[in-house]
Amino acid sequence: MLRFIVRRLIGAIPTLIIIIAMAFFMMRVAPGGPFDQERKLPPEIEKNVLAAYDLDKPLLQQFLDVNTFVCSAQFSGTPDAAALAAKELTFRDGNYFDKGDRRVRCLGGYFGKLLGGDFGPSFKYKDWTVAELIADGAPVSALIGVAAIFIATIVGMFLGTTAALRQNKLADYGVMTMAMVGITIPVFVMAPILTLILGVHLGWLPVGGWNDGAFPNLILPVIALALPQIAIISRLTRGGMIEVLRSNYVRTARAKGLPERLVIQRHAMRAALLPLVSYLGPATAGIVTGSLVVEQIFQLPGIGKHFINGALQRDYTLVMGVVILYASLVIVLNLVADVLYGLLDPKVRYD
Amino acid sequence: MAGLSVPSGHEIQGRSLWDDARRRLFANKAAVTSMFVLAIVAAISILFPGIAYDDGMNKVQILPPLWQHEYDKTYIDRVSCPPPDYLGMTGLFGSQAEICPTAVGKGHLFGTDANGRDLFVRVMLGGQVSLAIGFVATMVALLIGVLYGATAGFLGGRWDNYMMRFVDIMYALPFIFFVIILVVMFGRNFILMFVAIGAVEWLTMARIVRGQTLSIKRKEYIEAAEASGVPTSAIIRRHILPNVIGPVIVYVTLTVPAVILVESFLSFLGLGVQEPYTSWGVLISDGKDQMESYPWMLLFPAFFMAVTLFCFNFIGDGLRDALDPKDR
Repeated sequence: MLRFIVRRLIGAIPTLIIIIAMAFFMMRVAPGGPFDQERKLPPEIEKNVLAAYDLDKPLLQQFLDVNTFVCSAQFSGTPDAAALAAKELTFRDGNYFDKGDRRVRCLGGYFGKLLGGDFGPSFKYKDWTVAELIADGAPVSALIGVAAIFIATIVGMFLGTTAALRQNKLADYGVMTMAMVGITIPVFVMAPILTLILGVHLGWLPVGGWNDGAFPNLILPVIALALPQIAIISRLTRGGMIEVLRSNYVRTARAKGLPERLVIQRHAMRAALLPLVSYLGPATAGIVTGSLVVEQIFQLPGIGKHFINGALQRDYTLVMGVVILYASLVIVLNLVADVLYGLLDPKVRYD
Repeated sequence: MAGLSVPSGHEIQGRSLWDDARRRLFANKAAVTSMFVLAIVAAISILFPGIAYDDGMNKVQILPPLWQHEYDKTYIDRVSCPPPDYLGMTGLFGSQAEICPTAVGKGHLFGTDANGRDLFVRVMLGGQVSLAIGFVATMVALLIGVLYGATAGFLGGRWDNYMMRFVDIMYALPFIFFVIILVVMFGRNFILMFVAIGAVEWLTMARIVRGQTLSIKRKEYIEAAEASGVPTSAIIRRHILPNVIGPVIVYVTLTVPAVILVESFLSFLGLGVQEPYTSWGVLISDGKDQMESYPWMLLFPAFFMAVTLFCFNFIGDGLRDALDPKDR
């Protein structure tokens, strides 16, 4: 098992690198830059601005560069004499040397700095680094995302089990119709309609805004985000449950006189959960995608907003930061799903 | 043995796989109803704005609407708001009537949008674009997916391994982000939208086709056909193709609504189709901004999109039940 996890984690590294490289080059190759304006900047100023953000170098060097930069952990921006002196470094011939006259080598370029944990400065939000922006928005996105997944799992499992136990009866058809609606009607239709009914006409809930995470402000976004997942999870649970209920060991459990509740809880549930576990990865992706829309509709200060605005304004580093964060999230949760699957299903053997 | 004898005079007509599938599909009420509804939505979307709309000047459009690039200028009802009465000086500003939305019914079946354009026509025009993107992007996905999957399946072995590993890696990418980056960075034109969305959706198609090809290649009936001297071309045509096509058709039917969703998702974020074109996603997005005062602007396009997506899903489910004998 441990070997499996390690191997998968190592396997995820090239995937992540491909993602980073793809996003990086796609954005840089595209026409338009972060500092293009209606009025052209004087050439000297433009040159300085581009140099400050490393945008004046060849594309490959912007991505990865060795030896010509000092680690950004040591300096922010171009080091001046005082900063150099404070670090006891000297600069000559394009290289930095420490006290013992050993050359300080560092990785530069976007990817190089990223390896050192530096997401770089935001191009559009002056005085903010990407890390700060993400740290600012992450609690909001994480709160509604986790709440949505939590609610979706509980409600979806409950509805799915109910439907399976009353197969082809009214409750089953009701749940399945609801599931169909939830899958078919996209978040961005459901959310405004919910807002229209619950927020505008009935006036029960606030229409939007964050309000420091006040509970009433959370309800609509979380419901909107959870609904499609509830639909899918209830379908999966129903399917898994129906299959399990027909199996021999459930018949045995019933035959030996176990109460129905225990048959479901102890025997059926565990196997019926399997399809659900492997859905964890796609569910995360779905929630992430949905949060882009939900944050927009309800005007929440999350990460999704940064991504859309960042892309529109060519804020390269900000977009990269969000993509990397979400890609890692999806990759890690896929791995967690695989591991959990192995723990729950003794038939699965790694290696 | 009498029960087993074939009555003379009746020739037994064999039923093909497809006859069976068609019979099962047409027995599925939800699927048949969906096909019917979908045909109606498609027909009025394509035909109605062009041929039979009275835009207020009794001008009847005859051109197919997709070719009318100036459709935006028609259907505008500019005298729907009473002129504002500033300081009681009616008439002074009277000539500058503001454009404001008309409610449902007053000469407009679905009312008008914020610019005074007839919403019914807008919804139909949006339908054209949404459906067109749905079909074309699905075809892109189909083309890439079938070629890729079939190649991997036929080659097998090491190449199959590499090719599918690549698909696995692509699966891990948060693709919607790349579509957004593509669309934002390279401008929003139709072709790009088709390609970008098609490029997202081909992965599953490739997996399905590859799996089918691999498993069918090894089936006994293929062996039997080979043994009895059926030529390879006939084996591919008569045995492999029909069996690969089944799941592919099902998946295509389910991809179209998925693509429509992606397109409207992008449009909703303001990254989709641009004026004067419109799509259901754009209309829903516009309607959302106005919904507190003019809820119909949200409800009509949302209704049409939801109905269409429902239909595709029901048809897809029906086709799956009809074509996959295992689930019978």
